[in-house]
This record gives sequence, C-alpha cells and structure tokens, in this order.
Amino acid sequence: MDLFVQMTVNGLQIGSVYILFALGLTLIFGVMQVVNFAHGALFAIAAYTAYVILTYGADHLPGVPAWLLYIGSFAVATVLLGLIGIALYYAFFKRFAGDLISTLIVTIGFALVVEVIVRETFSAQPKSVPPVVEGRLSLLGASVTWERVVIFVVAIAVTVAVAAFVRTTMTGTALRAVTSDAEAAALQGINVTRIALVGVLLATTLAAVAGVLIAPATVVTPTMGFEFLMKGFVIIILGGLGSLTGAIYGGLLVGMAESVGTQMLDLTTATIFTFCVVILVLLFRPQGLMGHAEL
Amino acid sequence: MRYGRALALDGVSLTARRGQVTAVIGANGAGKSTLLKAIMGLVPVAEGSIRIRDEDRTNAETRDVVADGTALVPEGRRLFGDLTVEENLKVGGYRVRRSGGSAFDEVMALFPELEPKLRIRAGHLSGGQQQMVAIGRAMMSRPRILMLDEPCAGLAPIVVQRIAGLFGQIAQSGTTVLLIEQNATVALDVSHHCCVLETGKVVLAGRSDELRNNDFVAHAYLGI
Amino acid sequence: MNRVTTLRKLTAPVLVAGLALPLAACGGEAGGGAEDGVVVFGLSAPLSGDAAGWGSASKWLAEKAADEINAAGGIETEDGSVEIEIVIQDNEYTAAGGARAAQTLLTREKVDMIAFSVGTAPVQALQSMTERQKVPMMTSAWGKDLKGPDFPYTFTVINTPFEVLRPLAEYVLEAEGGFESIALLGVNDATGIQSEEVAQEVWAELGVEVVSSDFYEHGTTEFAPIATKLLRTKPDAIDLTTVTPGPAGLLLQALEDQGWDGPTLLSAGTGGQALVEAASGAAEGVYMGLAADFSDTNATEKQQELQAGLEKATGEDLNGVTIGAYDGVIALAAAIEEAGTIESDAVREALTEITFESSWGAAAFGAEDVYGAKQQILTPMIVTQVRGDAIVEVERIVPAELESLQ
Repeated sequence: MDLFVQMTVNGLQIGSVYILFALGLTLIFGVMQVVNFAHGALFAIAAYTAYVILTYGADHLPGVPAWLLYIGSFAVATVLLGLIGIALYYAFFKRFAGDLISTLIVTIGFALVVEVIVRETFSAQPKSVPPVVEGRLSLLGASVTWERVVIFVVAIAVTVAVAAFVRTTMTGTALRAVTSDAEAAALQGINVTRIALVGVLLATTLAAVAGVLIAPATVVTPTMGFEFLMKGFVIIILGGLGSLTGAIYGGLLVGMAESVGTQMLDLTTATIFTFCVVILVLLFRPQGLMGHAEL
Repeated sequence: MRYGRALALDGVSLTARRGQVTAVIGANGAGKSTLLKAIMGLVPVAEGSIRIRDEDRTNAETRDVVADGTALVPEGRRLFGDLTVEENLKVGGYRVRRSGGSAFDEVMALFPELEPKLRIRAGHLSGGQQQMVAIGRAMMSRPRILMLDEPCAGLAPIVVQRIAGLFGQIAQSGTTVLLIEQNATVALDVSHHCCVLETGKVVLAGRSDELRNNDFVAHAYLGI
Repeated sequence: MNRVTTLRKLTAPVLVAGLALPLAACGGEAGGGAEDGVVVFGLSAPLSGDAAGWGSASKWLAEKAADEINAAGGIETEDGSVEIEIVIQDNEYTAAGGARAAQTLLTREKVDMIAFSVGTAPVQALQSMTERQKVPMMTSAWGKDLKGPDFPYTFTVINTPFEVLRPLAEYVLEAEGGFESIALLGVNDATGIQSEEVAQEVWAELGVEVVSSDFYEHGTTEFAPIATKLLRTKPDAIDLTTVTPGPAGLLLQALEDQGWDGPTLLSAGTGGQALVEAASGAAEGVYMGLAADFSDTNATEKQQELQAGLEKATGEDLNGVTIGAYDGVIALAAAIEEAGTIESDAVREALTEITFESSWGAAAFGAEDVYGAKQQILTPMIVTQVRGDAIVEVERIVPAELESLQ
C-alpha cells in the first residue's frame, strides 16, 4: 500500500516537472510549426538566471526575501528570453516559417552555441538553486515536497491561462489562423509578423516560467536543456503535437510509466518500458492522445 | 508586371464597375490568380503599377489593401481548418472589429445554412459550405471590392448555382465584384461585364451578353 | 524554389554550425610532432557534454605541469633539453568520440605520448592504438582489463576503486558500528559497470550482503522513483559508487525526502564540492573514496596551489580524477629524464622504475600483485566525509608498497 502511494506520488511529481517543460514546446509547435530545439536552451538560460540572481541575493542583499528574488528572476528571465526570441524570430524563424528541417537545424545549432557559452561562463559543475517553498507534504505514508506541489499547480494554471488566451481572445484566434495558413491570414488583414512574434513571446515566457520554477527542483547544468528536451518531445508526441491538454496527459502518463517501471523492472529496462508505453499509445492513436488526425 | 522570373502579366488594364459583377475568364496559366495576388500585395510587382480607385497600390502591404476595402476569396478557399466556422468569420473581420456585429448578421443573412454549423471546425464542412464560409469571411471586412478566385471550382452543379446566384446579390448592395472563373458558362451567366485573359494579355472585353455570342469566345471557351 | 533562395536558406544553419564547431572543439591547436627540442604530450578528455568540466580542468592542469617544467629549462635528455607541448582532443566521453580523438592525436597531431586520458570507453578506443604503436599512455580509467602484461604501455595515474574501495569500506563499516546489507547504484556506462563489480566483490568479502545492484541512465533528471526502489529492499547502507555529482545530489535529496538517514557512500565519486553544492544539504555524512578536498590544509602545498589556480581559471574544483592530468605530465617527464631519451620503450621501462615527485609527494608505479605489472600509481588514499559545507578528511592510508620505497 505504501509502495503504491509512493509510486503514485512519484509519478505525479515527475509528471509536474515534465508538463511544465512540455507546455512551451507544444505551444510553439502548435502555433508556429517549429520543432524548437531552442526551447531547452532557453529553459537552461532561465534556470541560470534564477541561479545568478538567487546566489547574488544571498550574498549581497541579505534583507530581500527569497520569494521576491524568484519573482525578480522570473521577470529578468522573461525579458531576456523575450529578446532572444525576437532575435531568433527575425534571424531564422521568419525566413524558415513552416520549413521543419531548416528550423530544426537552426534551433539545434542555437542550443549547441548556448550550451558552450553557458559552460564557458559558469563551468560544467552542477549548480543548485534553493527551493521556492520549503518543507514536505506527507500523504498516506508517502511524501512529496511542497515545491513539487507548487510546480504542479502552476503547470495547471499556466495551461488554463494559455488555453484561454489562444481559444477565446481575438489575438489568440489570429495566432491559430496564422499557424493554419499564413497567407490566408494575411488576406484577412492580419499583421502576420506581429502575431507570430506574439507566439514567440508566449513560448519564451513559458520557457522562463519552466526554467525559473524547475531550477530549484533539479540541478542546473549546461546540458540540462537537452536532457529535458528529449523527455519533452516524447511527451508532446504522446499528447498530440500542438495540444496543450495533450501535454498534461502526456506528462502524467510518462511520469507514471517511469515511476511504475522503475519499481517493476531494472532501471535500463524501465527506460525502455517508458518508450514501449509511448509506442503502444501511438499504435492505436497515431495522432497522439489529444491530437486530431488532420494537422 | 513581372512575377518571379517569368512574365505573368503584361499591360493588363481592368475596369470593374460598382454594383456590377465583372468576370475575367481565361485558360490555366493565363495569369488570373497572379493578378489577384498582386492586387492584394501578396506577390511583388516587378514592373508597372496597380491602381485601385485612382490610388497607387503597387506593392502595398496586404493588411492596408484589406483595410482600404478590397477583399479576396482565394483559390481553393484556404479556410483555417482547425478553427470553427464562427472563428473563421471573426478572423475575417479582424480589421474592422468595431462594426463586426452587423457584418456578422449580414453574412448570416446571406448564408442562413451556416447558422447551425457555427461551432463546427471549418475543415469538417462540405466543399460548398466551405466556399460559403470563405465568401462570408471575406465579406466580414465589408469590402467595397470583393474579388473571387475560382469560387466554383470542384463544386457540384447545384452548389455552383447557389453560390453563383449570390454574386449579383452582393453586387446589388453596392459592392464591386470581380470574379475570376475558368468555367466561362457560369462566368458569363452571372457577370455584367467580362474580359478574356490569354498569356498575360487582355484579348477581349465587353458586355457579357454580347461576348456570349462572340464567335471566338463561343469556340474557345464555351465549346460550341 | 530557385537556387538563390535555396542558398539563402542554407546560409543560416551553416553559419550556426560554423559558429558552434570551433567553440565546441576549442583546444584543438596544432601539434608540432616530434620536432627537435619539443616533445608533444596528447590529452584525450571530454570537452563537451556531461563530463566537459573534466576536460577543461585536465587541459589546465596538464598545461600547468608543462609550464612548470618548461620554465625550469625543460626535460634534460642525452640530446639536450626538450620542451613539452600539450595537445588536447575532445573524446566526448564515448567510445566513438574516443576513437576519433585517438586518430587525431596519433595520426594527425603525431603526439609522442599520451599524458592523460579520461573515461573507460574512450580510453579503450585510444588504448587499441597506443599499444599497437607503442605509445606510452597515462590514464585515469580504471578496470583491471586495461592493465597487465598484455598492455605494457598503459599506466593509471590516479587511485581507482580497486585501490580505494576496500580501505574505504573497512573504514565506514567500523565508523558506523557495522551493518549487514547494502544497496548499490551506478551509472550505466563502462566505468560504472566495472566499478560496481569491484564494489560487489569488496562488500561480499567484508560480509555485507548486497541486496540490490542497479544502473541508471545518463540524462536522467528525476530520481524519486530510483530512491523508492533503493529503499524497497530496506538496506542498512547505500553505496552510490560512480553516480556523478549532479544526479547524486538529486538522489540524496530524494532519499532524504523519503526518510533515509542511514550510512551512505559515494565510493567512486570524485567531485566532493560539486556534490555538496548539488545536494543542497542532503549530502551530510556521505563518505567518499576519491574525493579529497584539495583546498584543505591536509592536501599537499602543491595540490592547494593547483586547486586555487584551477578554480580561478576554469571555475572547476580539483578532483580525484583531474589531478591525474598534472601527475601524468610529471610522471612522463620524470621517465624521459631517467631514460635520457623520448624513445618510447626506454620511457616505458623507466616509468616502472622511477620514484617521482607527484602532486601527492613521492610516488611510483606498482601494484604488480593486483594487475600483473607495475602500472598503477602509488599515492596516499584519502577517505573523506561531507560535514556541513566541507569535505573532511577522516582517514589517510598510505600503500605499504609506497612506504617501502621511501
């Protein structure tokens, strides 16, 4: 019984981190048809932003509470990633819009450059960021940190907010129209460049939220982006490319599969088990859990 | 006018009258779609100029052309398939959001059969219904000039009748309608004036009822 | 699409790749080959990926040793003095990367000797070439099958689990008042698997039952399920063998979250300070066998100096692996001076005979009883424990073979 509860709790807490990371990834695929390998790099930059600000705060600003530093980190990361996103858009995405291969190559290149710069700046030593909220929640004999609970709640809240924006506002509708057919959207009088930039900024903001919030729950390293990216892609393919709710189901399913697989099998087989679950789902629903067949 | 490297249009001058339907007919590759895209600012004009209502509109931004009252129903409809019918229509009114309400009512009056389909994804509709959404979407910006690129292509004859019948109705409300059609029979039936485009040049123009009896047109386009 | 736009579409990715490659491969300076008055030492170490920090630290340490020797007039040989030049290649910490690095070092750069190499898999790839071409190779890789009479040109310049694990295990057993069972976890690569084999052997010999033995994959970011699994067999102690500092920190936090407070070892872990940083407090009391704190006053003066210089230059801490880059250069230089030539067989011969001044003080190659040949560096072994933010030396063991040489 204890084991069952702990497995569930483990699955949920892993899932929460995966969901938060996958949201931005699926959004930019959904609205811009970009396979965005840069998402991991942006996420890592946000995590390092939190690291720098919190370490600086601990050393030089003893009176400032941690939560304020987190909000500061989030603000700085959002602006920083937004500027990078705008630069990426004008340099690459605008030219290669809808061209999956080119955007893939460009974003992988960008991620490699970021990894090297980060390593040269901060060294490869793992950095840790203190938690936003301390303490653990005990639940039927299992335990989970409050931090993970916060991540889970924020992931759900962000999904609801982004879904509301994309589905109900005129700008959100225009964003989906641009994704669906940029030329036809232009014919309706939509400023395609401006709307695409809204999409980019939405994705970079989500990367900032994920990076700042996940940083204290993990260790910050130059390669963290790639590690999360692999799981992220598995999750959004599982959930249905471009689907926000799909990212939530996908994240939870992968989290649970990892949690259960680890207990039942040896660790290497457990990794394979997770992919088997994904393959099984895709066999019966090739479009993913929440995807619709026509893209 | 040059499009890319190939000369697509050469010294084309068209006059479309307010409150009337003007049709352009011509074979594939005659430059009809290019002409409309150039007017909308979707393809660059290498040489020459585009004037709409005596204003120079050469290489204008598409959104300015739309804001100025010119709308295009593109070839192949180009609906936003993942968006609902209602969302497609709303996007059509993107430039004129304030008067969107009454424009929406007018479109509904034009296409009452769309009313029960508003919440359905546009991609799930039949071809004829999709064409109605495409025309409705263009009408949402309350254009003074409405251009339609092959609106009847690939539709069943009964649907063609239903849609073609609307053009006169739209024109009567004070809109200039410019129709591009490969199906010369339909084009001549619904238009007041017509011109024939061949390899980028206007080879013939006149009243539609006269052109129908023209030997050249009858032979080349009506297959009589 | 016409050709102009195709070209333009290609420009950006090519530009990015062009930007990334020189950065990723930095350090690949041209070597001069065996010219007069110069001996070229090659390094094969990871400069990219997870273990990239080891590569940049190794490069700095090897260059530091070379600078010291060159500044003192180079190495005296029968043909006059020679200066050391260092060339490093990225082995990506993989077998394939190791093979590429080996090709580049031996074929293109024509290095005379390998002063240091990191990672079991890439070192095996390198070794297949160095042994055939009779090139002396200093390495940090462990594994009994890397050394012995079949591989006469291979020398290990750091302590390995074979040396460290038994004294470490004996110390921990005594310090913790004895325990009966232990759970093992390692990383799923050549280094991890070989180290865990040693750990299984040692614990069994000491009468401790190994209740579970698992390997996690590189790139794992979530450790709560692994913690649950380790605790399921209700072990008295846990040995995280080769788990690297980042994952070890996360795992220790997850173990603490799930109520673990028993004796914990990182028997083959090397980065002490990195572990303390990554674990945010959860590493308290962890024992380590290869993770001395080189900034501590227990370390030699030379090691304290290297630690300070390395930290300043690269942000990395000196650890039980990278220290070998410095000692590898020193050992080769001492052997060349003893042999009076850079001819490889003479140098190899000299390596087995000399006693030299390493960063640890006097050192030599020995342990013939374990490996069948004198190919393992003999230096003091240091058992450390995390206490607060510090890595505290709790025991220092000097090998009997080294003592008898002094």
